[in-house]
Amino acid sequence: MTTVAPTAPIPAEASDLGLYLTSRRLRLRLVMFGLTVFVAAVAVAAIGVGAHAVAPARVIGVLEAWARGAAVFDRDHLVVIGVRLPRVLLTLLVGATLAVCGAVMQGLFRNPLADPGIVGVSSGAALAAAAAIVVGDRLIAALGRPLPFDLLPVAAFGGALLGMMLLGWVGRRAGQTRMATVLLAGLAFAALANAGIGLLVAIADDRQLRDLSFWSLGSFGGSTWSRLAQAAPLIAVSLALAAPLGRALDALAIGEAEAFHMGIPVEMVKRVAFVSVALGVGTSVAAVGAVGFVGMVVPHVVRLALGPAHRPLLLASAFGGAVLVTLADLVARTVTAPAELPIGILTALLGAPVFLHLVARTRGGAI
Amino acid sequence: MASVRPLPSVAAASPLLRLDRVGRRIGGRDVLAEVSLDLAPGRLTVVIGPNGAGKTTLLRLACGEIAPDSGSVDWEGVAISTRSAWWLATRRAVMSQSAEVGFSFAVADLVGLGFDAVGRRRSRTERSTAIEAALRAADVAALAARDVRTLSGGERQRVHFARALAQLDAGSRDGGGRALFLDEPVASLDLAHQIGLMEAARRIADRGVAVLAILHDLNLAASFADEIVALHDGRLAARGRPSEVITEALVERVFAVSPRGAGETRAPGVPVIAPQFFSPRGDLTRSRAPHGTTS
Repeated sequence: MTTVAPTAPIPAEASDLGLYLTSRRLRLRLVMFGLTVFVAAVAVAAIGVGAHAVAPARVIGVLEAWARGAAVFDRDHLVVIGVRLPRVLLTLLVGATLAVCGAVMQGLFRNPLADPGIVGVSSGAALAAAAAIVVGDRLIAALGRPLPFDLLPVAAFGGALLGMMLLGWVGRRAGQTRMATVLLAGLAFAALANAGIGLLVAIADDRQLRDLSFWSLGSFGGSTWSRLAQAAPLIAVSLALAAPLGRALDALAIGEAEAFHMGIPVEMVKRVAFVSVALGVGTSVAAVGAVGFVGMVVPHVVRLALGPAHRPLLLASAFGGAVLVTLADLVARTVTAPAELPIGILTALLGAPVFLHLVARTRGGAI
Repeated sequence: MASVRPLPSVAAASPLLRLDRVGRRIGGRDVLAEVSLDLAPGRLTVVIGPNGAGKTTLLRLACGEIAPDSGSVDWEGVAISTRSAWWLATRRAVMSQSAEVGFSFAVADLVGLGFDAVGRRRSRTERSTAIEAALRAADVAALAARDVRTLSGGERQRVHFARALAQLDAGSRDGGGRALFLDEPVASLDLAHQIGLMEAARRIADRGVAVLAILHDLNLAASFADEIVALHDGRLAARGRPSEVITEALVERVFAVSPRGAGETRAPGVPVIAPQFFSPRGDLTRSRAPHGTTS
């Protein structure tokens, strides 16, 4: 810092600051535009690739015909509309919501390592979903008639919400400066939930076991239009709840008291964020199982590119998550074709090194 | 408590914020009891007192962050507890003691958060002008593009001061009173910046803002305050003009330190540095860099 004499003329800082703010805005728009184009390109590519390959131009043609309501029933049409489109739409939605939920959690807990998969929110959802599969059957048998609603997504939402509330409770007790404690509590909760899943596996019958095995690492193999129709509205609500939180999360990054000083209704924001994350993670787990690390990797990369401000972070994370999960699923279903790799293996291969990198560069244990 | 009496000039100005016999218990202990205090527009009030005297609790009560267990806190005659976080944020800004930023915000962006908190409807030019002015007032303009987490403690403190100023600037323009709360704003600052920050606070008060600052440096407090509030064990020990409050008797009673023989330090031959920086009041309203002002 140089000494500025009282009489010195005003330096170029004024225009520098304006330039800085303008260049930041421009970069933001450029990245958003690029991501939008990229998402569309990846979606078209992912729809085209597979055992029955469809060229990108043909994919667009089929989609256009389908959108017009034209009744075409050739093989391309059946594959694109009947099989690939629901799957790709689901990967886009699940990817977007997982990345956004990660960004929201990290903002809430002021910790870039807070990922729904790592701190047990996904595990909570998976445990509840597994319980719904194993115990749900017995419940229906005992009742003698089916439940009036689908138990699985409700249970997954409940499990995720429970995980979030536990973290929030630990965070409140630990205080603002001990966010590492929250992370450790989350790890413990994840371990507990996984033990619970193991227990359920032990008492499950063969059919339940097959259903259960898919929770462990996640798979989009069962993507159908009906599963998409079930998940999409809930994911939309989760994203809609998270969308306006950007400014509040920015303020929360400075601290809870400071956020209040800056006019943020902190308790309400936290409640909305909890429900958004629980809904997003719960629905994703119910639809495709636990896909880890997306919520940590994507916001981390976005922060490196755009800085930590949450409004662009949430939007770019949605796009980034959609791209990442769609590409990961593309690899998962092609690399060992005709067999499918669990997608969670791929995201873990990508995410674990990022996690280690984040841990290594953390200063002074504050995380 | 002989020194607790209203100031003549204060009685005339209607208070912006009135704390009436407030008390607060934390962990079964009376952290604050029976403290009354007025904050008036244009007045710089400094709170002094030993560690654990209840200074920060008083500030948190006054800014609406926590509610009193007894007594009342009124903003322009209306209980502060009925006001929303946003309503308060448009009228007062707070610089708390230790704000640890969770992510790598650039200094200009962090100060921008202060502006954005309440200045959503303002133009882009207004925003950048306000941020610029706040950065300058806190002498952090040269750090504008730096990652706030790489700064020193003192620099960070000045950035949070700038953030509070930007919020104050962006806040309500409805003509109502505004307030600025500073919790130990100079705790990690070097001598020149201590003075620079207090001069900036003084200028803000002179523009009609009610300023409440917690300070440990009694010389600094005496030099800038219109009114000093001394707390001791959660109670009001004294309140009044600096000359009425900062007396040998009070320093001995409240801080258990004898101020006599203040011309020398314990180290032989090392004098007490009491910088002769204090310009006449009129001078302080003039904008200037905080440097080069010490003698």
